[in-house]
Parts: sequence; C-alpha cells; structure tokens
Amino acid sequence: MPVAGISLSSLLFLFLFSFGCLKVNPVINHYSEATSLLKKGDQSLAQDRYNDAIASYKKALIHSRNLPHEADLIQKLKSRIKKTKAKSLVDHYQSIQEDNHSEKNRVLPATFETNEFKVLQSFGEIHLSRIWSSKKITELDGYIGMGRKVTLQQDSGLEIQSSHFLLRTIGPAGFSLDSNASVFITSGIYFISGGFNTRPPLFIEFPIGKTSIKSQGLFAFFLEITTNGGCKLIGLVGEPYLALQNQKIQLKPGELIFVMSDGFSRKMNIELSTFIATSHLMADFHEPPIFSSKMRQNTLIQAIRTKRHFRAMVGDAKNEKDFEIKILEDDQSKE
Amino acid sequence: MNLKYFSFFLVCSAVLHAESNSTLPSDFFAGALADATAFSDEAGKQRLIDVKSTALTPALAFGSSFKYINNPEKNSLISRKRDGSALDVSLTFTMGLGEYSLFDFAVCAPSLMLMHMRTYNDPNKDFGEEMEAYDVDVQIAGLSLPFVLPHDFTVTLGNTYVVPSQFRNGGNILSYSNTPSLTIARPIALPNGGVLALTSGFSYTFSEGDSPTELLSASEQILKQSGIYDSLLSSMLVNNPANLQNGFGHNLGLSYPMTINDQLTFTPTANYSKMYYDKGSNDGRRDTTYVLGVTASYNLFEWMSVTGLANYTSKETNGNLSPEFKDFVGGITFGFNHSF
Repeated sequence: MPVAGISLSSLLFLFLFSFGCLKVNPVINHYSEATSLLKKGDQSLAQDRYNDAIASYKKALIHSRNLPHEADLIQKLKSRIKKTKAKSLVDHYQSIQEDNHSEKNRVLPATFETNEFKVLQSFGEIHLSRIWSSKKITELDGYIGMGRKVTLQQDSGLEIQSSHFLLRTIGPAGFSLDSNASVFITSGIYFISGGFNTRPPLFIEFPIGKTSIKSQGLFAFFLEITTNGGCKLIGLVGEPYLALQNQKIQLKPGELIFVMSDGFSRKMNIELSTFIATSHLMADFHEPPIFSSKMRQNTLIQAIRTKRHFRAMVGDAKNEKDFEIKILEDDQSKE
Repeated sequence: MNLKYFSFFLVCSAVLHAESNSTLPSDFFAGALADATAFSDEAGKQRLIDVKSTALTPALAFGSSFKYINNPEKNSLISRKRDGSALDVSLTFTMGLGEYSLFDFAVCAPSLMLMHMRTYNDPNKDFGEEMEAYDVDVQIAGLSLPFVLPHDFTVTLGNTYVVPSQFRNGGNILSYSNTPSLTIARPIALPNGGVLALTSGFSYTFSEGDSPTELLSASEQILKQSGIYDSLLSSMLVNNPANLQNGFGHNLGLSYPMTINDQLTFTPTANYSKMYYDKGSNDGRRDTTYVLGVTASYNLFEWMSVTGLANYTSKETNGNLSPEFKDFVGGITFGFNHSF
C-alpha cells in the first residue's frame, strides 16, 4: 500500500501541525486562595489600609463562589467588607474634622467606591481622583467606580472593562469614566473595544468634540489624542460606525481616520502587521489584548489584499485643518 | 476543453479586474519590528499602504522561456538524443476570489487559475523535424483554497484539470486528468533572518485517455476480418484502460529564497516526489523523482521579470512502461504580469 511509503516523509508534517494545540489549564485551590486573601485583608485592616483590605476581601469572595459548601466563609467575608467600610468611614470623617481639608469634604472614602469597571491588568503609577478619595491603583485593586478621573504616569499601563466596553492604555494618559458607556479622554493612546452589548452606543469625548460608536457586532480600534485636541482612530476589529455632528462613517480594519474640529478627515489605510508589532499598547501588557486572534486574522487578510507600500508614515495632527505625513528614507523602507 | 473557447475566455479575462498572487506568505510578520525602528513611538508605526478595492482580483501573466535540455527524450538509452532545447510560451489568468475569515484563527483566500502553454521542442532544428512529435499544447484549469492557519501553517485544498493536446495534429487531445490535492506548507524562520519554506502534499490523479475502442477504431475492419478484434480489445481493456495514468502521489519540497536586494532573489530548491499507479499494466508501478534546482529572479520593473533557472532531475521507477533517466535543464524565462 502506498500509504506505508508516505508515513516517514510526510506524516511528520501532520504531527507538527497538531503539536501545540494542547492547552493545559492550571488547577486552582479556591479554598486556600480565599483563606489566604482573608488573612491578607485582616492584616491590611489592622494597619488601617482599608482599600487594600477591601480589595483582598473582594478577591476572596470571587474564589469563595466556587465553594458552595463554605457559606460561613462567604458570610465572614461579607461581614469583613461591611466592617472595613464602616471603619474607613469613621476614620475618614475623623480626619476631616482634624484638618478641615476642602477637597476631602466633597468626597467619600475609597472603600465605598463602586465597581462598574473591572481592572483586568495594571502596572506602574496610576492615580484615581474624584467622587471618592484619591488613591493609587495597586496590584490588589479589582475595580474602579464610575465617575473616576484616571491619570497614568510614564511607564504605566491599565486595562479596564465595563459591561459595555474595554479600555486599555499606557501612560502618560488621562481620562474620566463618565458612565459605563462613555469616556472623556484628554490625552494618551488607547485600545478600545466593545459591542458586547449593542445598546446604547459607546460615546467618546475628547477636547474638541464627541463621537458616538455603534456596531452590529464586536469591534476594536486604536485611539490617540492628537496635539490639536482631536483624535486619530485606527480600525482593528469589526466595522463600527462613527457619528460626529451630522457625519457618519464606517471604520474597517486597517483604516485610519482623524477626527478634526469640523468632522472626519479622509480615510487612509495603514499596515496592520507593522502597527500591531510595534505598538506598546499591544506588547507592554502581560496578557494580549482582547480579540488578538481576530486582529491577527485581519492582518492576514490585509496582507493578502495589499497592493503596495508607500514610503510614508502617518504622524500627528497639530492644527485644525491638516495632519502630518512623514516620508521614509530609502534605507528605512522596503518597497 | 476546446481550444477555441479557452482562447476566447482568456481574451475576455484580460478586460476584467485582477491580482496575481492571492496566497499569503505567512511569514509576513518577519522583519516588521526591524523595519519599524526608524520612527518608533509608543503608539506604533503607521505605514501607509494601498489595498485592493474589490473582492475579485484578476491578473494576467505572459511568460516565455528558452531551455537547454541535456536529455530531451527522457530515457537512459546509450543511443538517446543529447543536448536539445525547448521554447515555451504561456498565458496565465488568475482570479483571486476574495478573502474569508474562518472562526477566529484561519483565513481562506480562494483563487482560480487558467493557463494555456505551448511547447516547441528543438526550435533550433538540431534533430530535424523529429522532435516536433513531442510539441504540445497544455491547458490547465485550477481551483485553489489555501487556508492560512495559526503557527504559520498553510493548508491548501486544490484541484487541477489538465488537458495536453497536439497542435500539429489538428488539436488531437492526448488525455484529460483531474488531480485533487492537499498541501501543507510552513515557513521556518532561521537565526540569520532567512526563511526556509517546507511543503508536503498528497494528490490523486484521475486520468482519461483514449479508450481501447478508440485506439483500434482506425483498423477496426481489418482486425475484425482477421478475427482477432475481440480478443485484442479485451486484452487492452485489462492492460491499457482509459484511466491507465491514475495514481496516488505525494511530494516533499524545500526552498530557501535569498533576497539579495530589492530586485534580485536567488532560490535554491529541492523536491522529492513519488507516484503510485494503480490501473492496468501500470498497477504496482512506483516512480520516484528527485529534483535539485536553483533560480535567480530579477525584477526589471513591477510588471516584468527575468529568471534564470537550472535543474537536475533523476527519475527512478520499477515499471516497464516508463524509463528511468537523469536530466539537466538550464534556461531563461521572461515574465510579464499585470494586476488589474
């Protein structure tokens, strides 16, 4: 039979092909994780580090949901959270009386912060202000409340998710979480994805305007605040519609558009493979961005569809009417 | 396939819109980081490109090659002809049929190919008109479904329909063959920045040549009068059926493209293929072919290239109907292409 003759030379390929498809998930001991976090929370509470204590207890609660027979542990954790919040509130108002600080008078303690935005990944110096007392995001923080103003220092990064959208950014950057479906961005570069819930549309406000984003399916795009206060958008996944004043435009993967004071600029196409490979938004985080496999798929499709490369790169928009194009020198570009 | 209709189709194709190479070099990420250092910033390098605006992407290519052939009759007889030549001309139409995403991890970019190639053996007339018997037209229609998968694998399902015919004999069609195939390819990035392309494929050829009845039709009356027609026919049905060339094949290929500069590329190649025939007197025959080659391709313009080639071929077989041989071929090809 001929099949016997092909086994050595060719079936090796099939073996290599199937290799790597196996994925082993690590086993988590939820009970020991929960009790460990409970102890950690108790230590933080004893040192009056209320935010850390709350974060530990909440993480322990997540683990305890996998332990249906540990009702006592769940009850204990909920009780600890209430106790910590009460203690922090008393401490907060005692300190107001002591220094009569004007800003502190207007805000609640951070232990009362709501949990509309889940922190998926973070690193570096990240400051939260408004609504609740200021704090830095630490490794333990699991949530950010709606209404917070977030400021990222250089060499920091944050990825958060609400029920409507996901936002990933690296510092320096600043933005405010106006609602779970809108964000006011003042500076920085962002990876934003959504479409988890088709209603309502996602609203993005920037220094000189506001645009709404609506999509029938999942979407993701890159956003950068430009020097003129507008923004630059690059489609990565899906085909969302952007609306600004009376204009509506569709953003497909690989398409770049500037949002200027008087509307959208003309569309351009940029090379996704190079963009994704060189963007710190993609590489600086421990976990890859959501839809990374879909993005790779879109880069493959774009590479097939590419007719030619120009010796030019898109830059910033520094005034109200036009944007920069940088010309590549011969030795910096391959045709 | 009728030559007249095929030619008409090729002419019609020329006015459509197209693209030549719709399959993806799946190592396209290679070098992206190195290219990006010049204007690197945190956002990422945003290089402008031009993309096709339509889903259907046609292209037309014309090529002509002149080749020196050491063993023009492809046999190992002492008395064989040596040092021959051949001239090929070909016209190829390809049509990219769009790009389709499959789940979240694969891309399929189907394409259609139609080719007409004419081969003139011994254009210098070194052997008089003797080699004209081998002059042939070949029409090929192919459908290819490449699936670009994770880990740089590309699996291609394809079918090729081939019709050789004798243009010096009123377009007499020699045979038809359909060859469905499955090919797996993977580029391997090397530490020096080069890419080694490894390909393995499987195929089965369904052939259809002249039937024994058709072969005997010219002398049917004489044979019937002699009383040997029926016995001869039944013998031929067993030993030389119309699908005599049916067979299972597989191949393993290796190539190492070396880009010297923007215009010049050297590509050494090695290929091993085996064919297992399973019909008539060919049943049990196994042909093994080894090919070592090198090409040097120079792009004069975006639409024109010149390619030099040299191949050494060695064929081994256990059959009696086809001889073993060794051959060296060297030549030059001029290629012209246009994507609409």
